[in-house]
Amino acid sequence: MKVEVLLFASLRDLAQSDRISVELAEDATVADLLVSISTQYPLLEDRVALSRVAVNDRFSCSEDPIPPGSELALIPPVSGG
Amino acid sequence: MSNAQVPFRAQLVRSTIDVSSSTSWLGDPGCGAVLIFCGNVRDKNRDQAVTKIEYQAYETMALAELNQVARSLIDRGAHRAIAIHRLGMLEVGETSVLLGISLPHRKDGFQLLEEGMEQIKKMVPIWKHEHYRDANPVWIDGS
Repeated sequence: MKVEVLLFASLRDLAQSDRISVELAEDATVADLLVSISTQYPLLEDRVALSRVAVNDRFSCSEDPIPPGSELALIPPVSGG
Repeated sequence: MSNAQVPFRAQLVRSTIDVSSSTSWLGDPGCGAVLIFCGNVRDKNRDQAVTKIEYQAYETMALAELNQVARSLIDRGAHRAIAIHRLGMLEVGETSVLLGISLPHRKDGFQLLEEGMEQIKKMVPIWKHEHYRDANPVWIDGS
C-alpha cells in the first residue's frame, strides 16, 4: 500500500515538502514504516533515527500496526515551550 | 463551576497570549492560589544573539496533547488548568507558552506546574525555528 506521511520542522526543510509518499506492505508496522522512509528517502535517514511516529494524532510504538487510512506523521524531537 | 463548564482548557493561538484573561478564567472561589508560568522568547541561546523565534506545530495533535497536559493537572489536584501555546513568528520578550492552575493552597502548585511544563516539552508536537543576528536560522531539537 502507499501511505502519506506528514513532515514538520527540520524534516520538512530536508524533504522540501510537508509530506512524503511511502510504499509499505499491507501488514506493515510502525517499525517497518521507519525503515521504509529511510530506504526510500535517504536524505531523511539521520533524522528518522531521532523521530517518533504519530498515528491518528497519537504517538505510536514500533510494533503498532498501521491501519489503512490512518493519518501518519513523523515527529522529530519537539521543542515547544 | 462558576465561570466554565469544563475545568481545563487548551489553546493554540497566533496572537498575543492574554495573561489577564487566563488569570480570570482560573479564578475559583475554593482556590486560594493561582499559579501561572509564562515562557518568553529570550535574546540569547547557545551563545547566539536571538532576534526572533518561529513556532510550528502539528496542530491537531498539539492541541490534543495540550488538552491532555491540562487534564492531567486536574487529575493531580488542580481545580482549574489552562495551557496555551502561541504559533508563528515571535519577537524577543513575547510569551510563547502559558501554563496556569488554580488550587486551594499554593504548596503543591509549583511542582505541578513544573511537571506540566516538562510534559509540554516532551509530548506536544511544536518546534521552534530560532533566528539569529549573526547566523542562519536553526530548528531546535528538544527532547
